[in-house]
Amino acid sequence: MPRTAIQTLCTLLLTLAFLAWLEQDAVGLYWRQVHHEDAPIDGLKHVPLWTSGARLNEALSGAKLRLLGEIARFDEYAVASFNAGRFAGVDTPGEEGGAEVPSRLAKIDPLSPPATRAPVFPAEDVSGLPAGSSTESGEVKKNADLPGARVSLGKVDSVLFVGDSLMQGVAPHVHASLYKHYEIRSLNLSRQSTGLAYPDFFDWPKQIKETFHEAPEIKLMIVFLGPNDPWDFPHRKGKPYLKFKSEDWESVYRARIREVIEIARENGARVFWLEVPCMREKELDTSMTYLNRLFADEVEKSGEFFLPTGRILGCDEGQFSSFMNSNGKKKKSRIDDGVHFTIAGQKRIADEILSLIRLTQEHAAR
Amino acid sequence: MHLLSIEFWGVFAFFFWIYWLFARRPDVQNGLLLLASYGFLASFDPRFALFMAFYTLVIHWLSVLIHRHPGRTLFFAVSVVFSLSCLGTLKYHDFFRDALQAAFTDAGFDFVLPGVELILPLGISFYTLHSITYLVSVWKREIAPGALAETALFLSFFPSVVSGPINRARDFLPQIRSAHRQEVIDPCRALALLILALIKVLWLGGVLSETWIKPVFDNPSEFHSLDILLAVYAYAIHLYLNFSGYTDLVTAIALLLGFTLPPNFDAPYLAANLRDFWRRWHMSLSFFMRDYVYIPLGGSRGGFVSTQFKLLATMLVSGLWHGANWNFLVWGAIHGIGLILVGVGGRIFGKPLIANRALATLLTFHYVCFAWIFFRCPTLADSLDLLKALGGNFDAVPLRFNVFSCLGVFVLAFAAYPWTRRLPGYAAERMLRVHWSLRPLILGPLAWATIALSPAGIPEFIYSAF
Repeated sequence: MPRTAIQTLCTLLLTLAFLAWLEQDAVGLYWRQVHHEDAPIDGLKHVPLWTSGARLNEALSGAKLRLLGEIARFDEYAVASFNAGRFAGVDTPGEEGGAEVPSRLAKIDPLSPPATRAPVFPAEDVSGLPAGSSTESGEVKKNADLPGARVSLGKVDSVLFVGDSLMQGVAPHVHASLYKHYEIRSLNLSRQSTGLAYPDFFDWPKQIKETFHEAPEIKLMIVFLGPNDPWDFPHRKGKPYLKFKSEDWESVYRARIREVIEIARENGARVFWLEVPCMREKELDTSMTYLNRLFADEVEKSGEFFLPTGRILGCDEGQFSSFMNSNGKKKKSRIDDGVHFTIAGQKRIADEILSLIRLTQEHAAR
Repeated sequence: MHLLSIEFWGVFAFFFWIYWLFARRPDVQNGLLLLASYGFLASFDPRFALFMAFYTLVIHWLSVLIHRHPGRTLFFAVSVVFSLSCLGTLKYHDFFRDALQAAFTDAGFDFVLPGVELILPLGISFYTLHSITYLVSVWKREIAPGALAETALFLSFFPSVVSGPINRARDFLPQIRSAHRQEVIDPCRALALLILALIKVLWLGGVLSETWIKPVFDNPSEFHSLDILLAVYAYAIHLYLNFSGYTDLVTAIALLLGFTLPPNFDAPYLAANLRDFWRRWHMSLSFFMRDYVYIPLGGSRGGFVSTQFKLLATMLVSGLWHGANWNFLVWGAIHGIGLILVGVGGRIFGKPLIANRALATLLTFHYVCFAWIFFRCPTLADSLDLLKALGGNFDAVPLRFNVFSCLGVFVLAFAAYPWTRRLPGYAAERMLRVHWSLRPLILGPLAWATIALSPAGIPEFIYSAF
């Protein structure tokens, strides 16, 4: 073996070992989430010298957070100064008349809703207009009675998106449409690779609770997740992983679904839980059918709304298809991985969500 | 397997050890590389490796026919048609099906075209171009056809199979055939490039994407014009960091394996006009387009007007190569029109229209940024929404981001930009002076600091989607 190769290999290995030592917690979480078992380096947890890396990382991370906090405070100050100069006289949160402004959103947008914004609807369209009538082209259809609407939103209400990469595809379309046509604001927390199975990796109930605390104006929470969850997961430290589909697994998973729904309900928000549509890979599809049963069951028990998505995307009796029906023609709804959606597919789901939202009179009268 | 994942680097360290144990046997090393390359493709989807095997067999067989047969031009034409048909069918079938369906409907035919379930093999946009350079070189008798294993390794070489740089057969095949691959090439430069890739892709690119680009491009209408402007600049920088960082990464991996790859970037945002920009951005694609599309179309022969049309056609092909999407065509058209304007201006005035280099660079950067809007937005309607908000949200919407400080940082970054071109060489030179056993003490903390400052998760390489 050439000398340069030996030296380079040693350099690479020592650098990787250094990173693993400092980032051992992150590596462990990543490994459990991706491989559904303890990471090989987790076996060193009882060696004090090894765990000192995690402690050092924690201390350094604290310093990093303090630094980022200072930068964020400076940013807030600079933005507030600019806005105060330009929008003097407009109500700001905390001031009289500004109480209706969404709180967490107000942090980043203290002057919402803008006073100079033109009305969205022409005068003749104002009665009972559904938010949910935007089409794939983004146009707004008239639909006065809107029999399918499940939730009413006013101008100070906002929408929370919760989910994984499926939601990352869909949420921006709903978000943009609600704002463009009705100035309803949204918070999109969706993040790839997340679900309810690995709260150590990403704790949705905790995130949702904190978000409602900071933004009580959220009146609708839309959830779309599942494909990252059909695996064994650890429940208690030192205990064996719970087997996917076992009685214990199901009971813990159902409790997590209920917890997510309950947080929303306690904060006065309605919940739309989206069905995971059929998947190309048979095993994943079977797992999703099982998870959908749990989602639907818990959502319906709590009186919230479980929104089917498979049929509109072209799934035929659960049979996978990449194509959906669009005005009698075939339109590709799924990308090649057999999991995620094309833009047309994302917009189709977004339209379905929008069709379930009704505007309050207060909003429609604008 | 993502090139920045823990798994990749674990496997790579093991592979590196085995690979260099056979330093005196390049034939064995090539075999190991071929296995690793097919394993890499199969780690995404085994069908990608199977298609690569099929594609390689046909290309190899055709190249042998081109070389041996008196009517080699016919076989050359057949082979290019085969190669482009594979790409056309697998990448563009649905785009053309949609267009055809719309044409049928417009013409009043109530006919539903069936949807065909086809998978787009990973990297096909790149290895189609690799194979064309190979076929052309064999046809022109610049090189003899490789043995099957050589052709297979040239097409599937794992560092460049997913997103390039686009290798040319006449430069790369000799490296595969070389009997003297007995050392890692410039290990300090390779290590410096690895750290640079982490800084560009994980940290800077990740922060730009999460903080500004994603929120604004998701819903531009709720942002102030200056916020949108900042996000457009941020996207231009992010795309450069992501793709040049990826190139640094694969160049480093190739060097560690004893191979060199062609350069892809040369400070593109310092270009003083669009022609200059294309000599500096995704250079391996630009030069491919010049040598394998523009010149075969006639190049600058045939008069000024005809040249301009060929330029536009070349840029449209380049746009469509990026994806089966109208937005990419518009992006290509904007660049084509820009190149024509540069050409026309030069012809009328006999010299560059803007003599001041800094001003010309600034204008070129803004024109490129304008085109990137179409590159980033998923549809034309989304691009127009963003442009509308960019122009109309100055007084209507409050500011969200600390735009002035960020722009200040961008200006400083641009001022330092010429210096950063020399950064890998400088870092490599400094590292050479450090004893090898101490290098992890520099690399480890640098890599950790980069990871610690980066947003969670492994960012996608934008060009791997093309």
